[in-house]
Amino acid sequence: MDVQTESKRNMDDNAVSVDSLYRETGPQLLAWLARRHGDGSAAEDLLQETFAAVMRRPEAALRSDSPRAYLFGIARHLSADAHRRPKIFEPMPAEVAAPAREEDPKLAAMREALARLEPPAREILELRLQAELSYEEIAAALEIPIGTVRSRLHHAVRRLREAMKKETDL
Amino acid sequence: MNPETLERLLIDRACGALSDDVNELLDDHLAGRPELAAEIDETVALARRALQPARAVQLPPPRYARGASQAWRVPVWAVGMAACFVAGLAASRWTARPVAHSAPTPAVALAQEQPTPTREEVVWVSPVRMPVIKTKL
Repeated sequence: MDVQTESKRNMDDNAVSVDSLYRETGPQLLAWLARRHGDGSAAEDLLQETFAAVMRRPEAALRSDSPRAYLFGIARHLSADAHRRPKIFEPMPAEVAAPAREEDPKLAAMREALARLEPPAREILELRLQAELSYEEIAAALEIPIGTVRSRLHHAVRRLREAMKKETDL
Repeated sequence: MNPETLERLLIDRACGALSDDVNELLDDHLAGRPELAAEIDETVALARRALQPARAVQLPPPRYARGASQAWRVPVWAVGMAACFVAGLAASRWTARPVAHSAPTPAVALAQEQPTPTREEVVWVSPVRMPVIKTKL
């Protein structure tokens, strides 16, 4: 088999692998992006941008220890860039975008407590509990030591526990 | 066990980050005191619920170009040939360059060495009168 045919076959294999990565990780990634950018098209655009970036160098994603962590790492950078970009249209106010629902008061209190958390702690909590990344994957995605992931997560849960305790005492 | 360590382990367990062995050891340690774990489990479960998206996300069809990376990829042999061509072109231009002279040519040097002729030495054949150059003003 000549070099060109082999190279073409590798590219096809990579494309198939990225497709399966899209099907497997896409929903979690989209949900995570939707939480940061709202349910609108911004989250979908960022999802597509993330995979377009992966397609430029698919080997890097597919050969990394955790392709999921690699994807979330790229998505996080793109998301940060999108937040820095000047917005042509202001996002819809939260209460319009997601009307208040009849819900458990405890759940509402938890949402408030989550909103009050420091962004780094909340981000780790989202990656663990929503996107279901392991501690190792979170460390790889955020490019921080695993000990930092652990300590921030512990701190976040402790803060939430305290907030919920206060809520119960009231 | 230190209460802080126990709390950290319980949080890790609630987040699903403990191995089965450690889980069993923790269960043994907590035997008869389930309320300690229950509170953390409830907090984490509630946080998990609160973090779920309000609506189920629908994965759109992929828009990334499958051939994006292929379109710009040039075969290795073509890159090699282009490099050889550029190197050959540079070499040919280098060898064809004229030799740069830093010293003046002998004729110019000779001209520079000759003294300026005096008025008497100059043979003036023009109908116009020879100009008088005053050196002292």
